[in-house]
Amino acid sequence: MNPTTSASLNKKSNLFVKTLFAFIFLFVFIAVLNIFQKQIKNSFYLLSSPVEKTFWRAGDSASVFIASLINAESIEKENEKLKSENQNLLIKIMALQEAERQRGAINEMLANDTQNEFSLVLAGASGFNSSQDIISINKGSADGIFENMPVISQQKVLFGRVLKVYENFSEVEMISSKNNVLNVKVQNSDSSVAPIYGVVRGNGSSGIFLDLVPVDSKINKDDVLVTSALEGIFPRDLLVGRVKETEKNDLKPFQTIKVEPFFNVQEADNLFVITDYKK
Amino acid sequence: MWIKYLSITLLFYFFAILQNSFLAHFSIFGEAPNLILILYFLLIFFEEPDKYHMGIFGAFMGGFFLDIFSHSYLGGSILYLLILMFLVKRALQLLWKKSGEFSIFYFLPLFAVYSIFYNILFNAGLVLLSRSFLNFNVNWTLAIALVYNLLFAAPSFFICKKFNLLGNIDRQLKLF
Repeated sequence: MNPTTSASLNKKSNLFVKTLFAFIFLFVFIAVLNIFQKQIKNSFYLLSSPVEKTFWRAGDSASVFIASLINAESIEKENEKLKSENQNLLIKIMALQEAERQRGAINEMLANDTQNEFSLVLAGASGFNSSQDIISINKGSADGIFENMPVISQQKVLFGRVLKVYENFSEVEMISSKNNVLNVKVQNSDSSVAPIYGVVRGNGSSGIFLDLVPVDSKINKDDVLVTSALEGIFPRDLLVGRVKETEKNDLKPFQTIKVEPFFNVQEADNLFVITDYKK
Repeated sequence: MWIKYLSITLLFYFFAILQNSFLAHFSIFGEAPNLILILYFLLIFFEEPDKYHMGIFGAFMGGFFLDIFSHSYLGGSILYLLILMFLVKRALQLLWKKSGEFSIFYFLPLFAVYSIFYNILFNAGLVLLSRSFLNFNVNWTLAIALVYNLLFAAPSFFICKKFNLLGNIDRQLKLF
């Protein structure tokens, strides 16, 4: 055999062997990483937590500062104050409507007193993955957190459910995640009308929409959506969003409705995990 | 030599924390800049087209930190970055043969294609693992993410070139 041909064959053979070893090494490396995935991720969360918290707060301050440059600072403060008052009033209106429908029965769970209604664990947001609509919070299994626990804000706005739990941290899947399906009811301003039930689906990128509402149901702009507790994960009457735009097509049995969610990731500094809903 | 690898590892870690916490407050339609992707592309762009050391090292470190701070399994992003590295290197080898020099006019389109391919690979990986096409989240917000990343990538290109931050640059680089 020609020495040149022989050398070329040897070179190709070496390259093939090197490539094969590289693939095997990569496969084994990835397998080992995933076997110890929970421990590795938890360790990095613990290590990064102080810095992440600092940057989270810095980002919050910076974004508020920039917003105040664009909109006058006083308008921004007044807007925040009005949002908080508005959500408190919506909760009170729903409580009164429910009491009317049950003919005078007073339900203490619908009172606007978050502390007595459920057992809650206060958690701070430390990171946000915008591509998968997942928030990281600084409470985990060591604090009594389990998967599927609901996560809300102090104004009873629903953020999502606990998806994955580590020892000191948890990942919360927001209701805007594409995997999320949530049973809701539409609160009509006329309390004599029975509520309309539907399903809120996540659209990704912090967006949600209302689906499976019969086309002959009357939904108005600015109607409020709340949880109905039909799927058994979230308690009832947690704030979900407000109707933005309805799309009716007589050829389809259901209408699709655009919803503006009440949750705001940039205001997710203090969240509450409901720990005893199913007990 | 080892200081360079240590610095790059720490930089990837720092950028991972930054994009997950600080930059989350500056997202537009849910999209925030991906600094790790930008840094990795700069690493492989400024490395000689026929060398792979920095690219392989960067893929492992960058991919590892991308997965640590996401919901995905560990290792997926390492694989995607390695695939992209080989594709980008091949493109750079062809461009090098054609013109023998690189400018911002090569950097930006190549970076755009690289970003799009990374998003497609990432979403394809999610679909494969979850066996559900609902997880294929490639839509119009990808364009926003691309523009946002380019806003950070373009000045980074000039900073790296001006201060020769990423090793020997044997090629001439034109100013924009």
